[in-house]
Amino acid sequence: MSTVSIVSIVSTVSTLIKQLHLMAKKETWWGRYYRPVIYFIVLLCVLIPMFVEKGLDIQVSKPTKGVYDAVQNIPRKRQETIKSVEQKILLEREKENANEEKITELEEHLARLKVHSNGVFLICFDFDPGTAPELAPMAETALRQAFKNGIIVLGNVGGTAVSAQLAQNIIERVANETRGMYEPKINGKDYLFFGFRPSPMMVYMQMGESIVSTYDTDYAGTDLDEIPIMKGIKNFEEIEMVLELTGYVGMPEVWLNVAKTKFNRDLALGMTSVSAADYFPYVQSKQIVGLLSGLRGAAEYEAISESDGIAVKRMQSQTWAHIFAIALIIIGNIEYFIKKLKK
Amino acid sequence: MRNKIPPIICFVCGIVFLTQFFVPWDPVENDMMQWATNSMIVVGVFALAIGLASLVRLHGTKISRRAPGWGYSVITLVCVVIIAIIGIVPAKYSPNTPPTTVAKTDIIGNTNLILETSHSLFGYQPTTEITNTILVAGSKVQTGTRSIPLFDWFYNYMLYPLSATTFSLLAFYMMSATYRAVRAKSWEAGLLLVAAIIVLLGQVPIGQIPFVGKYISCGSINGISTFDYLKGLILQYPNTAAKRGIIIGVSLGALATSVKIIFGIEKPYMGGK
Amino acid sequence: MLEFINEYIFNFEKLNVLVVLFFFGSLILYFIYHARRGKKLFIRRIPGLESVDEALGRATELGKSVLYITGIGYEDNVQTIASMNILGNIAEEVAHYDTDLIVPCMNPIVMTIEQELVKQAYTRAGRPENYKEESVYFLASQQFPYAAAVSGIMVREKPAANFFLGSFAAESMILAETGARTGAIQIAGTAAPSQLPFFIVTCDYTLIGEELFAASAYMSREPLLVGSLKGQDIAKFIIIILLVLGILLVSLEVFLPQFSLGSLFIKFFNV
Repeated sequence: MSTVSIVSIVSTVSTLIKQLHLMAKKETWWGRYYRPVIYFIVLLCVLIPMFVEKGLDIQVSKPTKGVYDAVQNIPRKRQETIKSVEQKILLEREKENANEEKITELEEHLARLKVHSNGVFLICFDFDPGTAPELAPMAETALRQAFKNGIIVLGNVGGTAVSAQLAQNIIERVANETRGMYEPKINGKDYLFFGFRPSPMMVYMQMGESIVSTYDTDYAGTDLDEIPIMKGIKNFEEIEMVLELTGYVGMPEVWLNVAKTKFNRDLALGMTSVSAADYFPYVQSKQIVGLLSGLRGAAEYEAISESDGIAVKRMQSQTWAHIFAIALIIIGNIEYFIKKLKK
Repeated sequence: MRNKIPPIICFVCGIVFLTQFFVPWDPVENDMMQWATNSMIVVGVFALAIGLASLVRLHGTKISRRAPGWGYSVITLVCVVIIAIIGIVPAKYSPNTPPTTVAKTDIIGNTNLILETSHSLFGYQPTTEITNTILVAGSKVQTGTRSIPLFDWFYNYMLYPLSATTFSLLAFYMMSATYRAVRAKSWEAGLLLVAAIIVLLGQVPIGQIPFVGKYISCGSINGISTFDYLKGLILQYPNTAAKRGIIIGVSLGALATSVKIIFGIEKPYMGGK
Repeated sequence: MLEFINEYIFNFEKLNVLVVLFFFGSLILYFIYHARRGKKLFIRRIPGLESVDEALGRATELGKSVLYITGIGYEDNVQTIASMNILGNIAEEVAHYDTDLIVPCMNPIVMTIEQELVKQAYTRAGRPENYKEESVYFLASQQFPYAAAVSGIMVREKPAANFFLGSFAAESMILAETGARTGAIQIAGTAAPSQLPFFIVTCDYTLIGEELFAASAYMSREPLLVGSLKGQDIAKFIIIILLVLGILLVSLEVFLPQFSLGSLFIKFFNV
């Protein structure tokens, strides 16, 4: 490094410390107007990177990979389930006092399983417009991954009715905006959206018995009995995996109690960054197959799915905002220590 | 007697639903719970009417007295009336007409199905048109149309952006709180500060920042960038342990509160005492 | 017979839940009974609750109001119930000081309970005529409209003391930061771990987790309530012992596989 650059760095640092010394006294305009200045810089940190087209290379973490792998495995899991049910029927028939009722039940279950040979995936859209920037990219990526693999998608809302319209918009857009990855998906044949019903715990428990009796109609008001997709779905036995997307702490516990504990379905969570930290214990104890954590989780999911989504691009803004936050912490602490030394 | 009936009801209901959790018989396990939930929904709807009455009375009083900020009360009441009327009016909703499936071999150029929305803000159309189009050799071909009711228009163009805006205020408030409050006033606060910086750096791909990124990122551990790895450690171990501790404490507190309410030691539904 | 009981009367898979519930519930009830016999029980100092009087006094001196938020939870949320218990105590003190109390609600059912609660508190304080029905009112049933409306109240009314006690989600930061800007003294408390950091950095005092549930016992010092607090603490101590025991048993099983006590221990606590 040249002498000039060393001198310039030293003089810049000493000027900065002098300014911070004055800030500590709050004699300057900074003491009165620091809030608007911070807000303006945050605005720039978030806004300017939005014009940068290039996304960042995102390293995918294990919890995110868990979600991706679980969705990719749905068709394989369906085939394994079909084989295991066929095996059960054979074993039951070989018994001396074969239970005909049980055999009939198993055969009906097998028939339903064979209707959708690539499996069924249930996505619960429990987010509102506030949390949509973090969770909508996760929903879109999950839908695209499912549609690409020919998996049937069911959608519902358990939290608030406000989320239903948002979810409907997302599903329809992804079903029609194929981007050349799959054929356009048809409502009632490739996907179905049930809409909102209050008291999620009861609704999900009832879904374990019969989805048709729980919802009666889909979001558009069509009788579920008339919809082709429901020929192969009676209850949770015909659903391989559930993905809960929510920013509300408390909603995942409902799914954990019902889908995981009671019906032993694969459960994955997509949460906002703030709430996601509460659910790492469940990843550790393997009660959930994976966890998508905030915008970073959405970007990781898009990266591993090779989906050209918006979350990866938004990571630029988040990166600069984080850098600014760290700078604020450092400046604030220098100011604090200068004040302390003065005393 | 008047003061004894509510605690008795509370006790009986508490014991009945506690027992319900353990009974596997279908009418008790499912039907009773369903009945209770439906009753709560019905009560909730009536309570909503009370809430609405409270809201109208509050703002009406403010308007009649011309209290400071009465203009906001006018806006609130006007919005309540408009949205209520629009929500009650039957919506003309028809299921999405699927676009005509066009085989890839018939298309020259891109086969990108896109949804185009056109709407009139103050026009006479009560609905929003959404058109499915396909890009065929650069020009758009309309394949299907459906209408969205006006209620959905209010949702998509008013509630959605307003909610997103309010939520986005969090980022700004967090920054000013970060500057003001995250200071190493004690060793615990210093520890919090260090953990905060590690998680902030680990959450983003810091190594890709131009010029300074590779200096800040400090290499990698086990193939993962250093701060990402440390962030994972912090979230998986101390964070998980602390959360588990809080969850256990809160669960015990919830158990104690429930016991106190069931046995009538605390009666918040009767004014506290 | 056992099959009949398992199918119609009692689900044996939930036996462990019943055992634990019975054990800890009895422990709490025992200490409540024990406290009735007059024995004084020690509670450690909780700074957030010690400062409630200071906050109310400040509001009275400045002639400003007190804002109390019970969060966004429904009436069956334990945090909301705990917060309502505290509201009763605070409303009684506010009635004594003749200070204005503002309680905006997000849930209509919670609003009706709180109206009754505050009214009863004023009656107990001997000031029923000072109770204003419009002090407890319904604002909005959605999270962010509610946060926006409460922020507006804070900026316009400029209360001297803000209490944020109950179940909160993302709006906690918006409320607390807006309150900090108005210069009010702020006391917050929630059992949601994800919101605690926001309250800790923006509020003067924060009740963490179960301190919220201890608050009603702490403020009233009623023997029955303090006894239940003691029961909770003993229960926590027993859980710590069980955790250590579990770790030892499971570790022992690694070295001596013939001792399967660790697996049995885990199986018992599996729900």
